[in-house]
Amino acid sequence: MSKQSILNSIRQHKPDFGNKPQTTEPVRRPQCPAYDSPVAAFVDNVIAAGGEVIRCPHGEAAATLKAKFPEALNMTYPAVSGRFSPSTALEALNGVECVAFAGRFGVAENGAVWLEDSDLPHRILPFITQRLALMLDDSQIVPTMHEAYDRISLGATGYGVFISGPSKTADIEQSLVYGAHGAVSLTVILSEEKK
Amino acid sequence: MDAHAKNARRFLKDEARADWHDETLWIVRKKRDNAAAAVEEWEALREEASHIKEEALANLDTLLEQFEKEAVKNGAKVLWAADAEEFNHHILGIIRHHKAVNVVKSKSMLTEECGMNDFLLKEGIEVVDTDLGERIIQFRHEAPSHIVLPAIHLKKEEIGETFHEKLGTDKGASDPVYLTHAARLHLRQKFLAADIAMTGVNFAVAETGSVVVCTNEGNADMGVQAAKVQIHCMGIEKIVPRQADLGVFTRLLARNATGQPVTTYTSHYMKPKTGGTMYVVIVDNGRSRHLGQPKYAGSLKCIRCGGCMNTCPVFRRSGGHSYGYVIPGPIGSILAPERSKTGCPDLPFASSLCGSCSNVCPVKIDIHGQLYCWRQDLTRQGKTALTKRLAMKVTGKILASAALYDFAGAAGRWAVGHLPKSLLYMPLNVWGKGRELPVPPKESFKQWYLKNRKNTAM
Repeated sequence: MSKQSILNSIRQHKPDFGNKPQTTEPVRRPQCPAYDSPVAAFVDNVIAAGGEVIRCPHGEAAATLKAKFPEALNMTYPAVSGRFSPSTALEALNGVECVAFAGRFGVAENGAVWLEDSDLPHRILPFITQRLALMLDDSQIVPTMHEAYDRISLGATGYGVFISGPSKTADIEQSLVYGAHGAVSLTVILSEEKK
Repeated sequence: MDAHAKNARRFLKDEARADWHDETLWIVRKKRDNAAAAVEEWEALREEASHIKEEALANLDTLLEQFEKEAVKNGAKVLWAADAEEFNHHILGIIRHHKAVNVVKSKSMLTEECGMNDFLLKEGIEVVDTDLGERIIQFRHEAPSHIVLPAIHLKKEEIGETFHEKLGTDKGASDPVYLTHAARLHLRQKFLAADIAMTGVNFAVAETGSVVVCTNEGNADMGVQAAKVQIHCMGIEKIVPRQADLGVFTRLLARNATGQPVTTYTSHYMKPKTGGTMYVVIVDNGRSRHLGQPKYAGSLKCIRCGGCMNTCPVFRRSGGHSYGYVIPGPIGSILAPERSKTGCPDLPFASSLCGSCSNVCPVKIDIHGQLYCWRQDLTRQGKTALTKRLAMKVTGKILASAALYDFAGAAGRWAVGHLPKSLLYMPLNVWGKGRELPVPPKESFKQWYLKNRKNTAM
């Protein structure tokens, strides 16, 4: 294979951008102005991305989900998530109408919610479902993607994804259409902090 | 030699379409401006992104080795390809090894660059492109005309016609919601049947062996999570050193591409799924040599947001297909002379050098500066058109001599005032195509100055 010849060619052609040494220092962060209310910004950005936000009192996320989507598969219940595994046939998943997960945290600046392997009994579930619901505590909103990556350890998981809004495309004359391939709608159920 | 100009002329014949293309991309540019302006620290982010990419390119050998080590530790298989041919054979080898029949692919400009779809088709394997825009142009046997908006050159009526023929949608139907839904049903069957899913790569993190893919449609994940085998294809320049660097790039990419604060899905692939296989194919194909060109290595910082295309007055009014290189627009015009087979020596001239591309570039590539350098280098190498070289030589002589300059000015003023239109706008006057010559002044500025201001103290 060409690994050595490629690496040799890179060494032979090293660019000089004023000699940038490889550093293990954490990336320098531009000063980000603080949000007055990260939660309000998060809500605005989920809506701007085409999603819907339902606020609920602490401890009532599951009940709120059930009222909104009676058919939802709530993956925070082991009895529900236990019915699915990586070997579940795709045909059985393709008809799923609504799936709900507990999001790890949300990002104020763009309305994205983080999910990773241990939240997902089958990795395709958040995409193959017609409707996706993500439950989140409003104490779990970080301001920007910098803080988001502080909360994650990519080395400790197999797969992870930020989801902001429902699947969308504008490939036909720049007309925005929801539900290109993934979920047609996204609902974030945002619980108020425990008082 | 002047392929771009000829292709652009063809594009401009359909005036209504050309205007629509121009205006639509300008709207995308304005969305980008709003998104960028909403981030107070935008300029500092660009500066940091440029710095990280330069650091990565200066240490590419060690970072690639680190990436491979971490990816293998995660359970992925890493392959290396020196050129397009080796890349295509790797992919064919993987397909044969897994006895795969159905292959789906989300957007990857690298596979376009390597001509992979055509190569595999000759081997009897039809790869299904799953990005809606790419599926549309695949049905029509066309190339993408924009790296982020691959079907931006088409009108919905044409897409409706194509879908009627290929997917059986109603004749004459052109509603984007209806057509998108038809594509969703069609491609969902392809996802469910996929043996192998391929993706491009937006960022590869050396520290954790992760590949990151950004989509709005969710097609990368529908494919990758459905198929047993996943293949991620990346150029060597996609490396970033650390996980934390993603914080900088994910803030810039979508804002600069479409004006969204982030793409709908930002997917991080580390380990294969239970019972699955994950490949990462690392491709050089001219990149390492490009790295050694001091004037041009900076173009390898590109994160493929397409921002320079949306802002470029030439791109907006000539369309992506007129460039004739896999990556069109300003960034393509500085990549092509180094990397394309033909060298595309006319592309650095397909620019007004207004500098708007450099101003919007999220990783601060000096795009218009490189375009300017390429013009000189290509002319010195004798690769530009003879008429252009002769004209430049004559112009150079005239501008170097005061007497010749005075004479040429007087002759020009006389000619525009006296010669018949047929002679003034003869084919050799390329400038006069689509432009009106100005009314000539009676005298030159020099003559006016000598008469009116010679004795005035400045």
